[in-house]
Amino acid sequence: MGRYIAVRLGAALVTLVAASMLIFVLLRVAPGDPARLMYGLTPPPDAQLEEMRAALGLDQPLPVQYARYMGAALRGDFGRSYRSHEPVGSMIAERFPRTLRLTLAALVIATVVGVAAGVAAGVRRGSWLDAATMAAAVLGVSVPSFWFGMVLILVFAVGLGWFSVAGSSTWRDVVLPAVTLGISAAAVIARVTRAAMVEVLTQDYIRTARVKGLAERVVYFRHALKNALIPVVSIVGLQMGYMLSGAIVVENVFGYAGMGQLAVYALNTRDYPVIQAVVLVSTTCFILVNLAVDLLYTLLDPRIRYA
Amino acid sequence: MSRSASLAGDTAWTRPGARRRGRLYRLLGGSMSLALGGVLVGLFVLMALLGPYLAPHDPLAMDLSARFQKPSAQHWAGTDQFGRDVFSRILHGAGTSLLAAVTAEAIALAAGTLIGLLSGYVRGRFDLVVQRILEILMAVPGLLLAVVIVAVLGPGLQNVMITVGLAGIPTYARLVRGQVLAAAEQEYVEAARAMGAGSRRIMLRHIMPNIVAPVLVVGTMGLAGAIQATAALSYLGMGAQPPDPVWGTMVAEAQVFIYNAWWLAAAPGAAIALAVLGFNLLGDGLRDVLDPRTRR
Repeated sequence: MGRYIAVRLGAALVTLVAASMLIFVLLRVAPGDPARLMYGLTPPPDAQLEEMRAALGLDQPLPVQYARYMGAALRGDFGRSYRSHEPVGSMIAERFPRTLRLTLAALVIATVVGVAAGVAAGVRRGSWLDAATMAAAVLGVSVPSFWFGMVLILVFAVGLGWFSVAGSSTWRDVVLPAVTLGISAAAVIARVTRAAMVEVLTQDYIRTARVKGLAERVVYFRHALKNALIPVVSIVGLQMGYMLSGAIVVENVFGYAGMGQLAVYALNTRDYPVIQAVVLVSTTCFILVNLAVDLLYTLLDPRIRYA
Repeated sequence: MSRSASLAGDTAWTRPGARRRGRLYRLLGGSMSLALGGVLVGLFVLMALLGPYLAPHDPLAMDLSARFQKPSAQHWAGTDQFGRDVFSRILHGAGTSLLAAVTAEAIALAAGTLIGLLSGYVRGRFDLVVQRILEILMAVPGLLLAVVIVAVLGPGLQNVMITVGLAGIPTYARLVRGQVLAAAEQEYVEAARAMGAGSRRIMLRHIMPNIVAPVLVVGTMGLAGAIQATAALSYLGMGAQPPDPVWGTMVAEAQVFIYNAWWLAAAPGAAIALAVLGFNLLGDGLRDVLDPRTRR
């Protein structure tokens, strides 16, 4: 087990380094001279530009630039924004907790709704409840999040006045974006849970449990659900990864000042240090979540070989 | 459905609880998803091909005296801030919106299948290197990869297609590789090799046909994903620029007016949702029919 964890950890680290190189190199070939972009619309004399290039380390070979950047990034220094000249690290530090809060809230909603719906459908396979749940699930993955978010704003913020139209400070601001972000994940989780439940309910030990005279409720929740949840764990983790992506769209619908909104703003203003930092931090999270899911999976299912 | 149901009236069903269904239904392998998805997809394909000819108004013609009109007999989906007919814009946008998704998916499918075939067949060091590269591509969350690529290539629908296509490559490459590895162990491949067939012949004639079904299923669902992804990137301003009537861009433009003109966002959003739904259902249905093991 210890060896397996070490191997997985090493693989995740290698992937992370390689992904960071890819992002770094891609953004270096992006159009525009970083030194010139630092000055905005009024380019300074050439001598001053040269000075700025040297200060930014742009006169060094690419591998040196990468090493310096990553060395500083590990200490939380991601350089300065081309636009606001603020340290990018503090911009991230301000927004990362908001995106994390949004993602976790969405994950909780998606898991609770998805597992409940999946169990209900799986237990009553073939019933109208099953059909309705699965129809809702297909609809859930099909509706574009940016549109669904607008519908929620219209109904619950403008119409009923339960929530604010936009914002990112109180818990009330998180509810609608989290529901929007969680809906498609809930649909996917519901489908996986249903399939797992249906599969588990055909097993011999379920028949044994029933023959023992246990109440259906006990059979479902004590015996079936426990085993059905194993594949669900991995899908929940995967969905959390997708949410880091989806947050870009959802944050822009709700004017939620998180990392996703920052990414789009930085893209529109060609603020490369900010783009690079946002993508790097999100990718790190994604890789860590996948690693955690992998390890959790092996803990939950002892049948998996540590290969 | 009801007509074909009466045609099958004399058929006895032995499965308890099963209702009598029509001949068409059975022809489709008993998949409601396939039928519904097929109809939706068919409608959207027709809309993409014929939309510009069916549109009652010019999608770009402004009429400032008819701004923000609610849906009516004359303007089925209302008019926008410039008095343009929203329904005509949706019809015109169908072609571009679907073509963008199809192109993106074609890039992913072609490149992914080729890489997967080679990787699974050649194996060895080549396979190892390819798998690591794919892992790196998959390690960056999709839309963030799109942000990086658009930062490099610049905004525009063409670059959005490339981005979505690139992001989709690993899915196909891994799927096809897995299928090839499994197929290569089968006796018919061994038999072909014993009969002196070359690598290329084995790959194209013997292995390829056996992996078509799963690729078809994943590809159909992938199209749903591509419609969503291209629409999302257009919504974020990375894709087609106004005044082009592309669905994602239309929703983005409409957001400002959502409090007093809800129909502006409603129509293009519904178009995206229904198109995605159609391909998802079709994919589900195809899987049910092509892979009976998954049917429950």
